[in-house]
Amino acid sequence: MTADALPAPVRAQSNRVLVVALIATTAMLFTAFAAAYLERSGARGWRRLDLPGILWANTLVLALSSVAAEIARRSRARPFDAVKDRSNVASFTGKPQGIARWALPASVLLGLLFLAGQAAAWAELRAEGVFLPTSPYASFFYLLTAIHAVHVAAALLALSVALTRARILGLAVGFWHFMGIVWLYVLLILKVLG
Amino acid sequence: MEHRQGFLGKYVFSFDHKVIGIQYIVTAILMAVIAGALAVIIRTRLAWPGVGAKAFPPEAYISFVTMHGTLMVFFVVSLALSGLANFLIPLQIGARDMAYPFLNMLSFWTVVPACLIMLASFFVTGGAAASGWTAYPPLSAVKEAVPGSGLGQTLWLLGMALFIFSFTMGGLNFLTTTLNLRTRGMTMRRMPITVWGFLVATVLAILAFPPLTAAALMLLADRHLDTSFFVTDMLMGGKYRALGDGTPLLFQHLFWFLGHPEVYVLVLPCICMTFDILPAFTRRPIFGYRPSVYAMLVIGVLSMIVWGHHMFVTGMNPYVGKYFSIATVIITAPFSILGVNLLASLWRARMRFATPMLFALAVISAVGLGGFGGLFLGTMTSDIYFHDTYFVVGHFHLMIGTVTLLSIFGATYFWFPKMFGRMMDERLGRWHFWLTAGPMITIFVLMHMQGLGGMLRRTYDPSLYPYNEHNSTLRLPITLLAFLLFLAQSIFVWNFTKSIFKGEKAPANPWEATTLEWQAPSPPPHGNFGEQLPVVHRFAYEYSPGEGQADFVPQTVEKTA
Repeated sequence: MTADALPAPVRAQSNRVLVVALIATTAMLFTAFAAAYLERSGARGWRRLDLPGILWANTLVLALSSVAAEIARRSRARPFDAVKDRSNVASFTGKPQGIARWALPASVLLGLLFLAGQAAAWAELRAEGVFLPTSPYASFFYLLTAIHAVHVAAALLALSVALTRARILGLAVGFWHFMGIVWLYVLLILKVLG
Repeated sequence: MEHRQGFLGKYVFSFDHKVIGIQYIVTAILMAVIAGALAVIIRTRLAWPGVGAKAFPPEAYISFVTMHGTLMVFFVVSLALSGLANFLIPLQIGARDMAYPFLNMLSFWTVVPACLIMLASFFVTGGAAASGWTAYPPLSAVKEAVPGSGLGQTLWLLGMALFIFSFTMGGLNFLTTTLNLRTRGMTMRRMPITVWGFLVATVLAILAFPPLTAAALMLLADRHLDTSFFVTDMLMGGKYRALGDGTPLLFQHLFWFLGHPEVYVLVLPCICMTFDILPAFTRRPIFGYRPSVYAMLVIGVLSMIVWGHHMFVTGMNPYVGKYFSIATVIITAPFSILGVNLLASLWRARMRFATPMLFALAVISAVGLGGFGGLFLGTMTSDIYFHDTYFVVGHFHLMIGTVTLLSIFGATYFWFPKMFGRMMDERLGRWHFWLTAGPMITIFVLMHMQGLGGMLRRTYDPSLYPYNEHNSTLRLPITLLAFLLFLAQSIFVWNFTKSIFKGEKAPANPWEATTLEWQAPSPPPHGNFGEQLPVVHRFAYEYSPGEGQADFVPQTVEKTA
């Protein structure tokens, strides 16, 4: 209710701070997991597994989704780069033209495809007899990918809301890029470290 | 501005930050009664160890110690501070409400089920969690370890998860509100220092809680999904249990990465509220506003890299311990700046000894005493002797028990007129002060003495160990003082309840203070400031500006040329 009492620039700025804080707190969550992983990988009984190849395809899907989201964001933000009035971005509801109209729906669909791909990767490992408690590495694999997937689902929800509410588009896309970076971080941990 | 009507909208599921703040404070008071009663039971056990041993076995003792710590840290002090932050931040920066009122309402109604789950865990099979407020594995990870490791521990984790979720939502609101909703003229350097305290605490909480969330998720997986992050093969009840190759110490690292910043999340706002109370009763500006703010920022950064000093006795590499010792002792420098500035704020004061001021003065003493003990615990060489003794119990109760509670009491007496439009009873307030600050500080200083004598903490029956005998004399006096302290709180509860309905009517600015909240009516209406938001023209603490001028100048008064 009082939400509407705030002037649009203040609301936009608050939203920006909110998303930055969300990114910071999420980053700390994954940093903590990485620290735990590093510590654990030095202990007894540590053995890595071969990860399913589909993860690379998923990575590509997520990257494409990020690109599509960025196209959607830029197609809407352009008029304001011209007038250099960033404080007004929040009130802008201009519609993108041509192929850019499909960029955001495509991004959401690619995001869903990523989640389906992750589910396929889990199914593949389970078929090989690798479950959560099988080995410490398997535990970390399932835990990290699952926590990431939960955050991806939340970010997809925000992107879907942005389909109809253009003023949160920039922030939703920003968080979506962050999800891509976290995925690369998870891959880096699982493939390179330890 | 729209007004929500009806009882539910106005008092229960309210979006108004003032109502939510009061809801938090009342919840904290209710939880404090329970957590305080647990402390009384614990002290009874320690004074008369043999009495009623059948009805009260060792398992119940550790369970009560666990829940006393958990409730006090997370559900009393944290909630009371959430309440004060909710109430004060928008009023002090000149905003109509929080940036996200709906989120604010949600964060309160997330913490209510958390409280209920914690309380319900006393009544399940095996009783409440019994692994300490720190939830160390294996006690917290192996379901059969002690009775409390069963359903009680699961509920503990669930309650904590809800609490963290709620605290994070609240923190996001405090952060966005402070950074974006300040009224015209309210620059960062004109903010009342309380808002700075909450800002630093919020940033710390947002960054420090996720590692505990990670640890809790791994602990849940260990308990219910057979992983081995923290559990390791061990002998239990004489039988070998193959549980895996986990590392229990990893949990301690993740826990204390939160645990140490959490100390400052609680203490910094409390010190800042004390700073805010002082000038109204000394009629002087606070001393060293800017150095205090910078000191807090430095403390914030340092607090995140010193967690290892809680783990000196875990067999950590001495070189690592040396680093943690040095980093910890460095915190003394910015912390001393805060302490000395508090003290110097009394310089050339024209004191008015009202109840909030009495509590503020007691906070200064407690900061000094508690901080001094910290030196011995931050240094590895002395900590190894003190770590498992009552010295530690005395120290952290002085910092996150006494400093916080005395300051929260002071803040409640100070801002009560703003919350309810009525004054609290001054005579009862004084009784409450002397019967609270006196026993509290005495109890915890005496515990330092016991610790120096080597009395072990976490001990159900201290008389079992012959080497504890030589310092057994203090056990009974401490317990009697604890009884007195607990009973004295009924004066506060009575005063608080009575004054809401029958207190003397309060003017808008009863303490003749300068900050924005006192320029609004008592209690402020929905939207706080009427038609026009106030405009800020000056620093937050302009008291006794000079000869021939007014005694104090509110922030809203325009500067004349």
